[in-house]
Order: sequence, then C-alpha cells, then structure tokens
Amino acid sequence: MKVQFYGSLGEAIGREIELPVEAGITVADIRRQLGMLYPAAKLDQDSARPFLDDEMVGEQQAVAPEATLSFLPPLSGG
Amino acid sequence: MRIEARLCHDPIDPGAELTSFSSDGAGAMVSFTGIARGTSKAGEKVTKLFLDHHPRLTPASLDTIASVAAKRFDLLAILVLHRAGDVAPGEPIVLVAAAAAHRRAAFEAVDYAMDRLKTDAIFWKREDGFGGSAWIEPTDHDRVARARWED
Repeated sequence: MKVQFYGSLGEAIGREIELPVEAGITVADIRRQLGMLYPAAKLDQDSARPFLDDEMVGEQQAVAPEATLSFLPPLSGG
Repeated sequence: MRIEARLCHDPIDPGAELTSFSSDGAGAMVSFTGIARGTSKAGEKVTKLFLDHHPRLTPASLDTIASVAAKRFDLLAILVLHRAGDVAPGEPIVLVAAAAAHRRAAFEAVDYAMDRLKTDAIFWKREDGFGGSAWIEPTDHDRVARARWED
C-alpha cells in the first residue's frame, strides 16, 4: 500500500512510502503501524487526518492493499 | 459570471494578470496581492517560504473559495491565484481580484476570499531561515476573521 504524507508529516517521513499490509486492514491499524515505524512523527488523529480517494475517512475504514492512503496535518491555510 | 482559480508554480505577475482581468458591465474592480514577508513573527530573517500542497485537494479548495465568493457577492468575475512551492521574500504569494457592478460587493468579496484562503485553502506553509525552519499554523486572528463571515 502506498501511504502519502503532506506538510510537516511529509518532511518527517517522506512524501510517499510503501507499507506492506494485508487485506482487511483499517486506517486505525495503519496508524498504529506507522506509529511504531516513525515514533517521532506526530501521527495522532488530530495531527494526521486520513484521506482515501481525496475524501476524509474514519479510523474503522478498511483500506485495500492497492489503495493510496494520505495523511494530512492541520492546514496552514494560504 | 467568470470564475478563475489557479494554483501557480511560477511567480505571479500581478500587473499582467490585472491588465487582462476585465468584465463587461463592471463598475468596480478590487484586487489584493499578498506578499511573502522577509521576517517571521518572531522577527527572524526568512530566506524562503515553502508552500506544500495536495495535487487535487489544493486546486479544488481554491475553486471552492472563488465560486462561493462569486455567488455570495453577486460578482461579474473573480480571479484567485495562489503560489505553491518556494517563494522568495518580496514575491507575491496570492492575488485575488473581483469585478462587480458596484464597489461594495467587490471590496467585500476580496476581503471574504482572503479570510477563507487564510484558513481553508489546502496548503502547509514552512518558513525557512538561517536558524532553521518552522511550519506555520493559522492564527487566532485568522480564525476570528474567518468567523465573521459565518451566517
């Protein structure tokens, strides 16, 4: 699965990583995995909002292994 | 009603853009250009502003803000241009222009669009200086300014 990060998260982790996952994984599962891989990154629910197909999704959303999940930090605005 | 919103990866030329921004029947045209500052709020020198963006959500957010402003203030035309990427101090970051039959609508539309852009446009801004970099968050002032437009 591709996971993308923007803003300060992108700087901390990289714009995109490849995460090995199994079918049936949820956003919450992915967040936990990322937290273990990147313990210094701010990956709590307020600091990293999950987006699938450009729509914000909830923690229990299942994510297909071939999908791209994005995490967006709070906006700076323009 | 002409609505144009563009994400710009190259420098904005306000003069050229405003020269070509026109609308038949307009009795008023108002514009605002936001410029990258050379110092941070803490008074430190800023060497560069970096605006990160999302390839689809960011231009969509500019479109939404422009469209809502155009409808809310009954404009004849609106132009919203916003930079992404590296912006040097002194360079334009954003240009908003509105054309309307009368001046009040044009003034308010530009004011509204800027308040929306400051809080709702999908960007992440980082100030780079000699001492390091810092990501920016909207201020309470920005949130208060945004709230005054809510019904």
